Amino acid sequence: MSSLVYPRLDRATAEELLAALPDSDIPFALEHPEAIPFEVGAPVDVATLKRVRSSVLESIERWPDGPARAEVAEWDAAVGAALFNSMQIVPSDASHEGPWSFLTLILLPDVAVARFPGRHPQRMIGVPRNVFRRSWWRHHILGELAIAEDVRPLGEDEMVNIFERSRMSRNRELSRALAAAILEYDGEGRSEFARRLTRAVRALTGPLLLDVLAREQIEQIVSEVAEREGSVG
Amino acid sequence: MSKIRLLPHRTADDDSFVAGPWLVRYPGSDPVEASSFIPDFDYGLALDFGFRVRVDIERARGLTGLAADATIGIYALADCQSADIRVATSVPAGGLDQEVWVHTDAGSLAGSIELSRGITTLSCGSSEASNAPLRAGSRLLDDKPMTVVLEGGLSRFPVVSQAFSRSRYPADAAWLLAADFDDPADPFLGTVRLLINSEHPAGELVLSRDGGPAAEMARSALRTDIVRQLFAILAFDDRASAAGDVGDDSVTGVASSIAQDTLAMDLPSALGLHREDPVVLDGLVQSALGYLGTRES
Repeated sequence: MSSLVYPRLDRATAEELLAALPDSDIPFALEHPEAIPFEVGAPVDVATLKRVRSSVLESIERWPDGPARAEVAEWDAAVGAALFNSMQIVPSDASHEGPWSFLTLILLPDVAVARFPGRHPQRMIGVPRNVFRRSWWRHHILGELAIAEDVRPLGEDEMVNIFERSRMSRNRELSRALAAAILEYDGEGRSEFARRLTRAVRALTGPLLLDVLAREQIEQIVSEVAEREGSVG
Repeated sequence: MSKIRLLPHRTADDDSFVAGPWLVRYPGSDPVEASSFIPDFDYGLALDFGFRVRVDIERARGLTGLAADATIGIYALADCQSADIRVATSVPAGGLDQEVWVHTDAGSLAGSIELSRGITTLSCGSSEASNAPLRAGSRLLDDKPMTVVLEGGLSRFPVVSQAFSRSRYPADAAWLLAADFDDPADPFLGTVRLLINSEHPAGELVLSRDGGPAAEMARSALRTDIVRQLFAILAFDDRASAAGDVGDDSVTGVASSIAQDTLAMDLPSALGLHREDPVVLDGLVQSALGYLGTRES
């Protein structure tokens, strides 16, 4: 049950904190005087914040020095699952920048820097491409598909194909059907297949309003397109 | 008036779909007409959005070439870009007046939503007419969408309650509008917040659930200050007055909505008045918002 709201850092404070992050021995904290939860909802307690931190640290034990380039998708998926399962954040609250800035710059700054040593503001401030916000959202929408274990997990470019066609990705059933079709594809060049698949399905969203269709109908459409596009490659 | 779309199949026309205004239903309450912002929105609210409609099924079938065994559906769709979710419902058109509602879960929405509606095929039947729709979900008519602000309107600004004595703000200030945007086209949410001093008596009053005259007076002062401060922030930024297509969720978009709702004027006019005759603008804002309870707002 997602029911908690998290402390929010405003943009100016987040930028100040980012600029002040030390090069090494990055400290974390459980609170910040400028970070206050939105007043509608149950504010997260210290015990939960500790649990969030420990869950994330546990999820990345395999990568003590940060993920190698080939492992970033796996790292992101592991962190996304840990955050999703431990945070219990209200999705409305998760739609805002402030909670993610708090998580990135106060609770888990060392983890964020391990993933993005360049500390680009797009990854460290709580905007949609933020290191934790993006991973949480992907797990929120895809669920177990985001951490598929018996097949190669979705890569970054495949995720981008699903999620950066925004209107299409807001149809959760469609996003999941696309992810499933990409994971099921066993031919050569899966990323190229994902690109063709999402482009072809997107073309259908003009004449068809896929949102009114049942899950089985959406899966059927995606399956037909996947079969066609799979045979092209 | 329907939205124009070029489609590979035949479509219906405006006379096929006669709908009333969008309605909103709070839990346990009767529906009311939806306005451009939802008062008292919070994350615990599960809202229903709907409308009354009559679909002329025979006319729609005739125009689209659908056979008698095809099923035409009426859809209602709530699209929330901020929360990355679209929620839709679709029901068979009955030919008589009917209501269609789309339900949104508590905690699932944020920012604003775009409400859209229209008719699609639920099944296409056995038509052999040329260019008739062939697939379930084929768009037959899309009505013009409506945007509803959930957070960021006057009634529910993004609010942060904090003790100013422990912040960088003056300890005796009651409230402040904090704006961090680089460009007024930036999203309003996340860049503009209302900071309320929880240690100030007026701040305590507006944050309380007190419905007494003193609290109402404090809230009327707060509403007036929000509009004053927002216009003051934007008045000397040329980009806010420039013509152009800005998102409803942007700082300019929200300020435009406030200018229209409060003063019945567009934003460039309100900002121009602020620059040229701020006293008059202030009087208009006070009058429109019932400053200190001088008038029902």
